[in-house]
Amino acid sequence: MGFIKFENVSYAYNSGAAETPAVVDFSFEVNEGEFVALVGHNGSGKSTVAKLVNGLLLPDEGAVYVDGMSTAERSNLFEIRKRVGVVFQNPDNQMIATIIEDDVAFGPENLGLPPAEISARVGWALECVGMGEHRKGTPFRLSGGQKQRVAIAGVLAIKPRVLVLDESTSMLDPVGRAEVLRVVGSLRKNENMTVIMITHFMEEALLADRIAVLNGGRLVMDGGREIFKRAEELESIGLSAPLVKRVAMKLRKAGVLDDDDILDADALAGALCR
Amino acid sequence: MRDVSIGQYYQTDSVIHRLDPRVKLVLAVAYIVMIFFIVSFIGYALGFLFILILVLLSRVPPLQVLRSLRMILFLIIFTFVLTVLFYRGGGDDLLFGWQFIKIYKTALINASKMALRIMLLVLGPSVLTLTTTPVELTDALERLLWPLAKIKLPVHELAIIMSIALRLIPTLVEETDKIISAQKARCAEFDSGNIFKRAKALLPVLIPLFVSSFRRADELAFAMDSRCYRGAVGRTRMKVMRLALRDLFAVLGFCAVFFAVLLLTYNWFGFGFIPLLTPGGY
Repeated sequence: MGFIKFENVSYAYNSGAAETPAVVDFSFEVNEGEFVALVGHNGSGKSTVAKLVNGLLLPDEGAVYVDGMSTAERSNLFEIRKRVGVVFQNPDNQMIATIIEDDVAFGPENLGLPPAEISARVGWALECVGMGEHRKGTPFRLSGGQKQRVAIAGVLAIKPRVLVLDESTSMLDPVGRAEVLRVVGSLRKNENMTVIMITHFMEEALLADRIAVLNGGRLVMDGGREIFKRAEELESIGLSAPLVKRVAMKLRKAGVLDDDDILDADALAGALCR
Repeated sequence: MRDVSIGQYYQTDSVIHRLDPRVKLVLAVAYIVMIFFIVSFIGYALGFLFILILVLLSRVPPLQVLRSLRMILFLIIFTFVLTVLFYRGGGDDLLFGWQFIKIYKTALINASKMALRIMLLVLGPSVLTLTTTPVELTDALERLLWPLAKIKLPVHELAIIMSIALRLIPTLVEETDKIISAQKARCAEFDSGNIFKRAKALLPVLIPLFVSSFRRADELAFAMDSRCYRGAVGRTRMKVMRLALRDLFAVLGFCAVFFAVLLLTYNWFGFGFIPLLTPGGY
């Protein structure tokens, strides 16, 4: 059984009289060590999944298990949140303290660790995201990317086994986005962190080993990079394939290439020069 | 724009800055009590000398400290004038009389003492806020009030509410600026018309600000929950506040000043031999 398991989960938001289903009969598993991208256009239910995974929202139907524990059990939530850390979209709305080290310390303080251990974890977490030298600074002067890296450090300091990034790059400029993705990459490499990245940027999804596509709250695709072969299908649910793939498709239509199964720029250049 | 969350904190390194915020907070309260024990001018002189020494030790430019007086200058003048004009204690020390305006010597003395008292009351706490960050103060308050949590007072919750409020002030200021710019871009006018018009013009700023504050609060709550927040249950702190030797010296020094004030006020050990020092003198 996977480390995280969604079992026929349905969830609907109650907005007045009308119920809007956000997630419908969603079954999904993530194993430890995986890097999964969860993609979908706006309103596909992907952010709801992020809130279901650590029990911020509870499923109307079905169940979510983390490390064998159901999120529906209130007494499990603390243990679950120790294992699954979620970084949200807006870094400004995740900061609790006015000094960076105090903010990063918030999580480990909640775990009840001894002060020396908290301090060590804060140092480690800030080093992981490359913000070590800003430890004593205030977050207000930082760029969006730096703020989001501090937010990631705040989650890392809890030492979760799974890191969930809920559209954590969507409010950032390209530089900030690249900074955050670099951090995710190094966490994958150095800490073998399990990562679930929720995004609507297909370029980001390409970094993952596994890509799951949500549409209308349902899981419509789940697989490796081969899902980009179904580019028309992706397009029909409001997602465009990565730019390189789209260029390759156009070139094939124009008769320049005979194969459009190309996902990175180098491969495209290689195919063109052949 | 100045960082609002820092308050009027003046960043530098000094003995006063490094004092334990808990000690500073307790001493500030005790200081206010002390001010009310002062009755004679020489006592006030002692009070000002004490503040002067504090300011010199704190390495905060004295002008910065005096700035806090500027804000209450009006209050001081107002109370001074009112006390002098409306003093009707009577007596034989009339200095000046014209129709209904009568100025007595006692009134002048009382009014000056009151002005000095107000100044001291403002200067002391402003040394505290100039040398201590709001976050340190909130932390100190939480730790000092800790025993009250035993009788189910939500001390931790109050402290975290305060620190989140401090944390959100700059964000909300920034947001207000953004909303004002957005409304200006749509031809809203904020700085023309009479005061009612201006107040009304602020409505389209306040409502979006209000709505977005709720949204922020909601997201912040999610983020706090995600980071294992359970209230005060089983929570530890990274920063340990430990009393140092200098805190002991601070307390001793303050006690000495307080003792001197009491000495002057209550004429202990026959210090009344100088008539100036006694409550009856000036």
